[in-house]
Amino acid sequence: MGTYILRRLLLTIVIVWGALSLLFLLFQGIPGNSIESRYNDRYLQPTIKKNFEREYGLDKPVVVQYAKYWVRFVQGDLGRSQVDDQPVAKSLRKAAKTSSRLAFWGIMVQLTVGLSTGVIAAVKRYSWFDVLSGFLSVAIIGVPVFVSGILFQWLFGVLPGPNHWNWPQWARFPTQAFDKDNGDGTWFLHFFPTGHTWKYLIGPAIIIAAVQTGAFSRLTRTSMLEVLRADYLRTAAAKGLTRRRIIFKHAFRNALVPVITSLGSDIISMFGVAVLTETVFNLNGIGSRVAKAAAAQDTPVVMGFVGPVVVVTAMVFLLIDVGYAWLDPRVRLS
Amino acid sequence: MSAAAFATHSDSLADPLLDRDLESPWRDTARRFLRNKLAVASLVFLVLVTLGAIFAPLLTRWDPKTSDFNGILDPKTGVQNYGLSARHWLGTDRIGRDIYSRLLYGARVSLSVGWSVAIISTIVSIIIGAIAGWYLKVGGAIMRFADMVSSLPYIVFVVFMTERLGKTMIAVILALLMFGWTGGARLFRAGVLQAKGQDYVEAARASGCSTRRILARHILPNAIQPMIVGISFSIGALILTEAVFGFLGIGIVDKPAWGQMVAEGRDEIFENGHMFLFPAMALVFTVLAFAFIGEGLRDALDPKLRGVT
Repeated sequence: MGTYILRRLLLTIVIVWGALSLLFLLFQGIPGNSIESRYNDRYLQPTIKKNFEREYGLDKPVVVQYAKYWVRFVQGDLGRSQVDDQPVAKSLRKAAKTSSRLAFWGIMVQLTVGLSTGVIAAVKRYSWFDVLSGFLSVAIIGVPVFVSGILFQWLFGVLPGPNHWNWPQWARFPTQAFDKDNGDGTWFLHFFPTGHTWKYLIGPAIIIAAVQTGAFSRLTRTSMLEVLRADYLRTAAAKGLTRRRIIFKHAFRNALVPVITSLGSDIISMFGVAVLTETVFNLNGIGSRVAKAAAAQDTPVVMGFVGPVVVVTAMVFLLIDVGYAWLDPRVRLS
Repeated sequence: MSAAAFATHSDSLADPLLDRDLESPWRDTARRFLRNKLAVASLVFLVLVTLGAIFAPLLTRWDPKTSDFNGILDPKTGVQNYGLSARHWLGTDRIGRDIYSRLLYGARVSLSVGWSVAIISTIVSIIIGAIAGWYLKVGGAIMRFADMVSSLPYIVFVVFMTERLGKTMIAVILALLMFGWTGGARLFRAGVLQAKGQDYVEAARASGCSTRRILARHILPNAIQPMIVGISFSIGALILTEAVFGFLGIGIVDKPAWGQMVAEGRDEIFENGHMFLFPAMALVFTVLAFAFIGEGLRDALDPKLRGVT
């Protein structure tokens, strides 16, 4: 087991190193730099450009820049943005706050809606509920976040306009971002909004969860159906247990195992969907910051944001793999 | 058990056996696919969209890039009418370009990106997956490289390509190919690894087949089925991804594309809902159609369900 963990850890380090080097190479391959992409050649004075390049170390050879990046990365120094000169680590902390809250509530929505619909669909197999939820879970995959998100804002958003809906107060959800001092509350234990801030949070959370919830609900249903067929459930029924007790105490708990395992990769892929949700709801999360910085060729921000995310992602996959190996000896021996 | 129930039972048993003897696997697949109403409806819809994309210049008299600002001006009030009219069937966008015509031309972009990337990346990933599955040493390195590529956000590949080649269709296609091969290669490698242990591969090797022949003639036909089903699903996903780039403003700008139209329509959603609604609907229905066809194909190709009516 020890050698397995060590081997996997080394592999993880290699993948992180390779991925970030690839990213570095990609940005070296883009012609020009961020100041050139911001200003027209005609207005960009050579001295200003030279000073800018000296300030951010762009005048040095690529190899030196590459070495410097790694020395700094290992020390935890992510450099400064080439666009607003803010320390990257500071804006990363800010963006990570937003992203983690969004991901947390996205997963919460996915868990509650996905689990409950999946279990009901399995217990009442072939009922109208099962058919409908089956259709919806496929259909939701075809609806991109930027369509569902905008529709949500159009339906429930409090927007000025000639034909906005006259919803009662409780059904109106502001479309402004929850991370910009909108709402009146603070955060309790990092994740839990106080005051009216939840109203700003509910839309993004539903929208970011939507696509994955469909697949998650189907997975729960499949897992539940498999368990319901098992012999020990027939035994439980023969023992004379109530249906409610069989479903919740015996079946549901066992059906949870494969479902929970899939949650790990769901959390990771939630960061992929986050770019769109954050853009639609004007949030300054990790995804939207990377998208903006990449388009502006703000290399330190892209590298500084993607780097830690790649490290965390690789660690999560490492933990999942080690967990599997711990549960199943065949994995670690192969 | 009553006689009637017994009769129907035996009928339903006899039919599939009869079918299995008479039908070729392809006809059986086609028949089972045609039974899936949602998949057939999706296929019809996609054929219409494809025809619309191919014959776009014949189906509309409006150029997708020129604005008809004077044409939509109400002479009495002096206000532009962006909405639906006999002149512009689906209305115009904020600068007076015909939305129906832009949708047709946008279908060209979506379908070309979806089909070309799906087919090229499937071929590439079959080749890479075959090499990685057969030569284990090289395979390990290739798979680690795939891990590296897939751990980066796809936006950086798109920015890389569009900054080098301009925000054109070819740049977006290349960017999608840069990271699109990883999933397929992993899938096909798994198929090759599984097939390698089978007796028929052993037999082929014993009878002196070359490696290339074993891979192409023996393993490929056995491991290709999930890839074929994957194409249909991935075209839909690719169309969606291209639209995401368009929506974020980092994708194609020199041609009308659906994602870009959705982004433009977003600002007008309260005043002129049609600018958002029609491109969004085109996108959603097309992506869904590919998903439903994928589901239909998967069920129809499943050998476990063969001959089952």
